[in-house]
Amino acid sequence: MLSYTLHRIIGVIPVILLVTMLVFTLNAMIPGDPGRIRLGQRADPNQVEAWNFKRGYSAPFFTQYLRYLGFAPARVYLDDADHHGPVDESIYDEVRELRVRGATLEEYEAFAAQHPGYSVDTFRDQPLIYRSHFQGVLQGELGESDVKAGKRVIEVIGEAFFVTLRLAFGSIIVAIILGVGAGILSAVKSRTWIDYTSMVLAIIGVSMPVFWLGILMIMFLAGPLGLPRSGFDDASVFGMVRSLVLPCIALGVISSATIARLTRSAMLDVLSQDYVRTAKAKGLLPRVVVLRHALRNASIPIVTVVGNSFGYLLVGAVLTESVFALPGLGRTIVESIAGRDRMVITGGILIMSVIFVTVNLLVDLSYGIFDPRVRHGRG
Amino acid sequence: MPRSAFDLLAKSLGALLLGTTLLGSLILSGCTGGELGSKNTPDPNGTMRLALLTNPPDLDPILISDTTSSGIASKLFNTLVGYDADLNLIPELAEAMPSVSPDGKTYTFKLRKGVKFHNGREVTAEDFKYSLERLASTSSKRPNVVKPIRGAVQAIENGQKGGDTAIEGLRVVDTYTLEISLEKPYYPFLFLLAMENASVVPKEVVAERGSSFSREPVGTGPYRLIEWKENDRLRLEAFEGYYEGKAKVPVITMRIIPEALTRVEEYKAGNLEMVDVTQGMLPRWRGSAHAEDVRVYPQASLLYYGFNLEKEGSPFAGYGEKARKLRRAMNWAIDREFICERIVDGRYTPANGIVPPGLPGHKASRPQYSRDLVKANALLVEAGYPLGKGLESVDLWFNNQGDNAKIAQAVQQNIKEIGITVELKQLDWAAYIEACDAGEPSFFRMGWVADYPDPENFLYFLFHSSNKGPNGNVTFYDRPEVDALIDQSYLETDAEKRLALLQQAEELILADVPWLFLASTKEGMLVKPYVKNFNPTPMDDDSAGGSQIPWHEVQIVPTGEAQ
Repeated sequence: MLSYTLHRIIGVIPVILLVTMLVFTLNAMIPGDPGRIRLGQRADPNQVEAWNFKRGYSAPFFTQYLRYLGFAPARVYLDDADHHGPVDESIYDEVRELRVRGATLEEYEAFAAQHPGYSVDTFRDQPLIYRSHFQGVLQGELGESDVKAGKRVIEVIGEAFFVTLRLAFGSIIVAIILGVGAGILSAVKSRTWIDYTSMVLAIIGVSMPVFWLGILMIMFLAGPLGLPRSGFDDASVFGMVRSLVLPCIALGVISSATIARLTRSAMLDVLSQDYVRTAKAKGLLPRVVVLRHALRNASIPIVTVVGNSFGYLLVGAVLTESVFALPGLGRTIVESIAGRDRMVITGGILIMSVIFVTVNLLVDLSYGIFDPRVRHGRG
Repeated sequence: MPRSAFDLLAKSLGALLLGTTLLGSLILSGCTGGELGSKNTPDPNGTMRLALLTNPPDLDPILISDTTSSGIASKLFNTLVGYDADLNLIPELAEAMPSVSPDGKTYTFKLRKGVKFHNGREVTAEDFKYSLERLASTSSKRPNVVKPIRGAVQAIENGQKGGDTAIEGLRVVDTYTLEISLEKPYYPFLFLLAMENASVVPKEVVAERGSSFSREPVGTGPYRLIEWKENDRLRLEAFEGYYEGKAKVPVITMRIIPEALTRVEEYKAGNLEMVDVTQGMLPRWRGSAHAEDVRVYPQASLLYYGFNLEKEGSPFAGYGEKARKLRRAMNWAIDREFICERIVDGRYTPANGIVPPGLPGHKASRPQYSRDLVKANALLVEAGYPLGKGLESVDLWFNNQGDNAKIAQAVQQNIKEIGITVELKQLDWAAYIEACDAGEPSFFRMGWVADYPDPENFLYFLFHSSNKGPNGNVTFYDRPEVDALIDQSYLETDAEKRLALLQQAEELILADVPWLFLASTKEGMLVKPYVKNFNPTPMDDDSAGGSQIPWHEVQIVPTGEAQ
């Protein structure tokens, strides 16, 4: 089991690398100059060029990529006399030291006095100075946002991620209750009106846009139920739960449809097996037969689809987040794409892919728990 | 009697499904008609609740270049001069309008005494010097604001070398007197000083907070920023020490709600005091019991379809008789009334030139192009393309926002009727602006929102040959006569004569027909009837409740019973 887990974890690394490579290539290929978008329609072209240079976007593509990963030194450019020359390495180290320990203004001023030609502002405010020679993904640093002044990518994504995590968690619970419940019922009452109705509803659920369902719920459910229409109230746990009820139902209902259809077919398969007939013949309660004997053995495809759904809910909740105005990860990434905030796009997609593979890995590992017949071998 | 738990479960689930179906059909029938319900329930604490479409990128004045940020910043900061309701310049933190030297180069400002920053310190001339010099630094996004000041160009260069950005032309005479000398007379200079970018900031706070000043700004404005949750909400609190008295609304919250329908639902539920409108909403609200909520006011902004006049191989390029007649023919083919009234519910006004209505120098008497296919066809014949023969199909480029696609389709249809085939090409803003800067499209949609209410802001940026490409002149218009008139207008100190020069330039440009002149825009909003003293000007847009409105005067006055 342990070696299998290690095996799988090592297998994840090339996947993640490939993802960063892809995102990086796509970022470079999308038309739209990051400096131009950042500085606005009235920006001076020289300013745009200087900005791109400072942020490292003028470097050759491959260099940018290596720097991002942390395999190449992120050369720090302060604006010196030649306008674009690199700062002396020794100064760089000292400045970095000032930054890291959060030096006071006086210390910066004293430092600037020793190095004529540079201003205090240069040492304090140039964004790239934040990154060291080798400071990239490898060193756990995702860089600084191109758009949000003074914000690190990890901060931008982190805040949003926990909102989305709660949303996804709530939705998957809704999805499991509705989906597995309806699936079992359909299977047990197969070919009755219950079965047909719930499967028709499942088809509607699969094909209903979450956006539309969300708007309907805001228009017609929020008022009568006394729930907030939109927004994320994190002042109290109660407020947070209230603000997540409608989004979780909207998102959960849609994923429950797939789960219901899959549960039904898996259960039907199992229910026709001999041992189920034996169990019934022994006179066991129908509840015990269905839940203990049948459901457990039908669980592998269900767990797989639940796991996958959870992955998708984490990364694909952008429409729900927009409709309900939740400050989540999907919206953050869409916003960064429109604003060409390359650092946040890359960082965000990197985090998403890590989550996605992790969830998949956990799903695979959980098979053994749900079905004792599955044992992960050593080879 | 149910035989087992399953039967019971089945029955209740069945009932639930049936219920859902019924509720669903009820909802659907409810969608099609019925009175529009909108609650007039002010917040019990008197909070002004606004919605933002996006998270503001920055609130540091030297970084602001978008309407959302400037709408918020205008509540946090003040400038030397501002505008009254008719967009005349008035003193703001200056005691009076500055005295200007006879040569038009030196402005002397007497500052108001006792104006306080949010941290309690009094504002002095030194602070203005510091704040304007910051605009010349490399971290600034708007160095152009201070460029006309003597020595500013040098300061900007110094800044790029890592040096000091002290500007020679800025002189602190005493604590309350600031003298600004320009390189040469520059009439629009006071407009520049009225922009949010030129707001006064406290040096000690900027020094302490560094780049995070943008996220925790401190100014002199009627409100202080007390909370900012990215992508979620901002909270402003009335500043006790505001120089014109504490604002009447104690707290403003701004929630970021990207989805238009959600914003409207929140407004209807009585959770927002105002909201922007989208297509299709106005007729419905006007016909409802809440018609008084609808506010439509003209904007100092315009929309046009430009031709790239330098595009090689394009039949639409150049200043020759043939190309001009072709462009004019297309202008006569467009049904502006349909676009303005039907596509955007009257939120546009057909344009009769470049300078939009509501601005000084707008010429209301000039006739506009109307739809006249006879004229259009006759011009096409004169241009040598009878019924469009001999013209290949042309790509019309536009960015994928708002009503752009619908308008482009209408234009495409109109032009097709005179025999010219147009293909639509849609891009997102980032890619689009890059293509336009580079002069890639030969026929494209573009707009311009005034930075300040003056014709120069349109004519100089959109038509002066020194601004070709990224600076705004995306038609690559290049006429020495027009350049000369605009240049001359800067030196003229007499307001009337100056306006006449600019109008002359506008006429010359119109004769060259560089655009399909389309429309100037209006802003539409819904505002709760209990919001008083909220009177937007053409320089306000719907983001964050506008940027020129005196916000300390806005009031929430519940009238009668809350419904």
